[in-house]
Amino acid sequence: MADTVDIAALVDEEAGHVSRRIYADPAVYEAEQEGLFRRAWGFLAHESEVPEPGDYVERQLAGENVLVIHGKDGVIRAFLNSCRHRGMRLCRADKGNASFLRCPYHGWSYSPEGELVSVFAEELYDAEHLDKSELGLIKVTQVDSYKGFIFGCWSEETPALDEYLGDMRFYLDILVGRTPGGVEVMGPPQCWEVHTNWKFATDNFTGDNFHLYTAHGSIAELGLLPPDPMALSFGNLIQAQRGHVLHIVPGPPIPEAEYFGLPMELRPVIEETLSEPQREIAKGHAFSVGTVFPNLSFMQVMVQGDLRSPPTPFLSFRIWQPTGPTTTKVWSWLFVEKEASEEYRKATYEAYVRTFGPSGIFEQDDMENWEECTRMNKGAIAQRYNLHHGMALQVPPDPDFPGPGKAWPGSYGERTQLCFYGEWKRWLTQEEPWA
Amino acid sequence: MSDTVQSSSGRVMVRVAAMDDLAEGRLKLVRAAHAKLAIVRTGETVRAVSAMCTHARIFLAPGNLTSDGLIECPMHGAMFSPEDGSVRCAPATKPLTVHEVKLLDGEIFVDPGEEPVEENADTTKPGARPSAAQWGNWG
Repeated sequence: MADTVDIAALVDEEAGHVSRRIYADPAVYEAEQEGLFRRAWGFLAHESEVPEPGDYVERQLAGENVLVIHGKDGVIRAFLNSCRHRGMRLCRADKGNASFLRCPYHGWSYSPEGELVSVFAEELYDAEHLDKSELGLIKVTQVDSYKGFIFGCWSEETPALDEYLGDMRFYLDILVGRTPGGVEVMGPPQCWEVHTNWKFATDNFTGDNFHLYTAHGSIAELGLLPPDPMALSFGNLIQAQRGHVLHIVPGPPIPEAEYFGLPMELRPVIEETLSEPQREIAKGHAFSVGTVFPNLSFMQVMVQGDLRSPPTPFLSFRIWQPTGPTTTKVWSWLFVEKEASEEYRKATYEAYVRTFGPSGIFEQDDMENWEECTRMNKGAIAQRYNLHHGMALQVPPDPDFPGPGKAWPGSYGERTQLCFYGEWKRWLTQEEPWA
Repeated sequence: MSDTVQSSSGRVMVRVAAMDDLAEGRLKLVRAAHAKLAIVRTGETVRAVSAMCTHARIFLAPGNLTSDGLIECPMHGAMFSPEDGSVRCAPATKPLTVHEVKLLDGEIFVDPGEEPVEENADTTKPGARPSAAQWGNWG
């Protein structure tokens, strides 16, 4: 795709090598915007964020501001948040409810369904120079949702969302479709900027348990991680399909740590809702971190926010939105089952905000590492030397694993990182990477 | 020369290196049967201790001892005595295991010790699960 850089040479999956250039080079960034972000499905919002007609949120898709809005006809649509007159950012609030969207510059106004409904001094145009039916808001090319998760895509060639997610749906169902009501967003997402390349965040969220005792060493010393640094090395690294990856990790052998530590009162309904292999996976694990390719990551983890609180689960989804070669905007949502009690909602919210998000004790450690990785990898000398992703590549997949895709036993390993980088390379170098 | 000799108590000791391979004040990592060991030479004496730091399960690094003659873990800076494996500096709290050494014609033989029956040692085995002990008092 890019003329100036040989993308294919930057990732060597067999050898487990990745070039440092992919985290800092402006030419790689441009190739990525064109080959990946303007073609792949990107997460925009959850339906529970825009429950009523007129509700909207502003998000980004391939770096461009997009309005996700619930029409009066009940349909949720996504538009470029840009007036057709001068291109002004039409809606300047992160979220709200509007009966019409009026441009702040000259007042062109649109319906929540995206039609241009009124133009200032409309009588001064003749029919030849103003056809309002042609000047509706620019639609996101494809919009679809899965279990309430609304995605958008700027390319009409990209396969439909169901096909794009493929076998990742089996694993997503364990997280967001394990009760009849599914999940809903708690509060607005947290949103902040990090001076890192987005791929360091994704790399970490393909399932990196082996940074825990180093990057989060102070937390381990306090006793908020198990004493044996190999305690979190069990489970599986999973390639659900193509670049969609995750890990699943068992907790201590106690009932409280089954089903990701979710409240006991929800477990009967979870057991009823999930299929047998999904149930087996959910029952046997306390942690799962993964990424829906390319930049929607999730974490279903049990954490202690302080020394006195018991380990409490939370489910967060986040997107790593590149805003430049070395800058990333993070959006992080907390999700909870619609059936959850008020007591659990409070507990999961507290566990999440204490540990993740911009002020979380874990997230701060991570961001410091990602920022410094990015800064170091900008160096021309540094870029002469590849980075290393070689852990546990000799481990064969488990043929008896109950879920789809490939599952490699053990959660300390760099298999899922390489699956992610391999897929990243395909989107940047192939005409039809999904083929 | 045979690769093994009997210890005074009848245990099998494994040849791991020659005296000439060892420099004074330096740690060398060797393998004796199932065991990975750290050996240190002081004059005409050789000591052998377990090579994995008891704190964070990282292998100790070959190379110079500290100026006090101690083994320093490269990861978190825990220090151990090569004489008796005792902890001399945190964060480790448990000593390294001492292994019996025998010198014979300039060759070093070490008792690898019993093979540890470590539950679920191989986390890459399908279906392996952590033990309760690995989680300690977590939660």
